Amino acid sequence: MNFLKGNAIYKVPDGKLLRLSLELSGDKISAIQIRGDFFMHPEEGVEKIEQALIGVAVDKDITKAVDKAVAENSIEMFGLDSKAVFEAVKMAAGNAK
Amino acid sequence: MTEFRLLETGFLDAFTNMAIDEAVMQLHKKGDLPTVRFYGWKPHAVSIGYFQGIEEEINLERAKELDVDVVRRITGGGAVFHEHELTYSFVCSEESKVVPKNVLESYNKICSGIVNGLENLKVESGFAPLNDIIVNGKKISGNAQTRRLGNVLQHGTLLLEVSVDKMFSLLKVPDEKMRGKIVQSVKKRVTSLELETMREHSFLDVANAMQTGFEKTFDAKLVLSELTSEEKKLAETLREKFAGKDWNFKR
Repeated sequence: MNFLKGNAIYKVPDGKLLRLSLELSGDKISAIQIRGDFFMHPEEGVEKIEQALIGVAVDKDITKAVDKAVAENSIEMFGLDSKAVFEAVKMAAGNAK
Repeated sequence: MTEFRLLETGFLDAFTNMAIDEAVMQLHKKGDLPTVRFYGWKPHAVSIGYFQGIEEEINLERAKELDVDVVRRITGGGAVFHEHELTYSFVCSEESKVVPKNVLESYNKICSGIVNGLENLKVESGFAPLNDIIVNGKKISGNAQTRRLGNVLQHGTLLLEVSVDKMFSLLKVPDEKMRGKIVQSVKKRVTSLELETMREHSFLDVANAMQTGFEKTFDAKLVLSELTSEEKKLAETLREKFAGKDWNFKR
C-alpha cells in the first residue's frame, strides 16, 4: 500500500490562510490536518471535518464531505469554506510524495 | 443603569492571562453581570490561534532567546505578539442578548467598545469584518471570539506601540524568500496608538478611555471588581493546561 504525504498552503480568496497536511493511501485520505488563522464555531468542528475526510477520495466528494460534516455538526466557518478545503486538498495531493 | 463587572488584573504571564479568560467564561452564569477585563502581558508573549500549528508559525528558538512566552489560545485567528498593548476580554451569556446572536454582528458590537474608547483618545477608527479595528486603513486591533457553554468570550488587542521587525523575528513566514517583502507590506498595514497620536499614553490612561468606550457602547456602568475565589481557583487549574506541552503543541 502506498502512503504519500503532502502539504499545502492555500490563501482563501477574501479569507484566511489555510495550511493543510494529508496522508494518502492510494487516492484516499488516510490522515489529514487543517490548520490556519481562520475561525470556526464550535472550534471542535475542525476535528469533525477532519474525521469526515478520512477515507474520502481526493478528486471527488471532498466538498460534499465537508458540507455534510458542517451541516451535521452545525459548524460556522469564517475565512474558509468547503471549496477552500477542496482546493487545499487538491494542492496537497498534487505535491504528495 | 445596567452594571457590568470590570476586572483590571494587571500584567501577568501568558498562561495566567489565558486561564483567567477561560475561567471567567466557564463560570459565567445566565444572569451574571457581563465582565470586561483589561490586562497586559509580562513577560511579553506570542499567542497563536486554536487552529494554528505552533512549530510552523512560531520561531520557538527565537522566542526562547527573547524570553517571550508562547501560548495557544482557545479562540481562532492568527499569531499575535503581545508587547506594548492593552488587551481586553469580554464575557457575557448568549441568552442575555447583550451582544447580537449573529457572530459578525457581535464582533462589531464588542469592538465598538474599543472604537468608542479610541474616540476618547481623539483617534477615529472603524470596525472591519471579520475581526479588525482599522485607523486610516491600517490595523490597530485584532480580535477573536469563542462561544462555549452558552457564553461568549471575545478578547482582543489594542496596539499602543508596534515593533514589526521584532514581531516578525518571532514568526515564521510561508515562504522565507518573501520575508523582506512581507515585513514591508505589514509595516504599511498596521499602526499603533503612538503612531496615530504622535505621543505616549500610559496603560492606565488607555484603560480608562476604553472603560468609557465600553460604557458608551453598552449603556452600562463598569464597576471595578475582582475575580471571585472560584474564578481564581479555576484559573490556577487552567493555567496548568495553558502552560503545558500537550495543549500548546496539539497542532
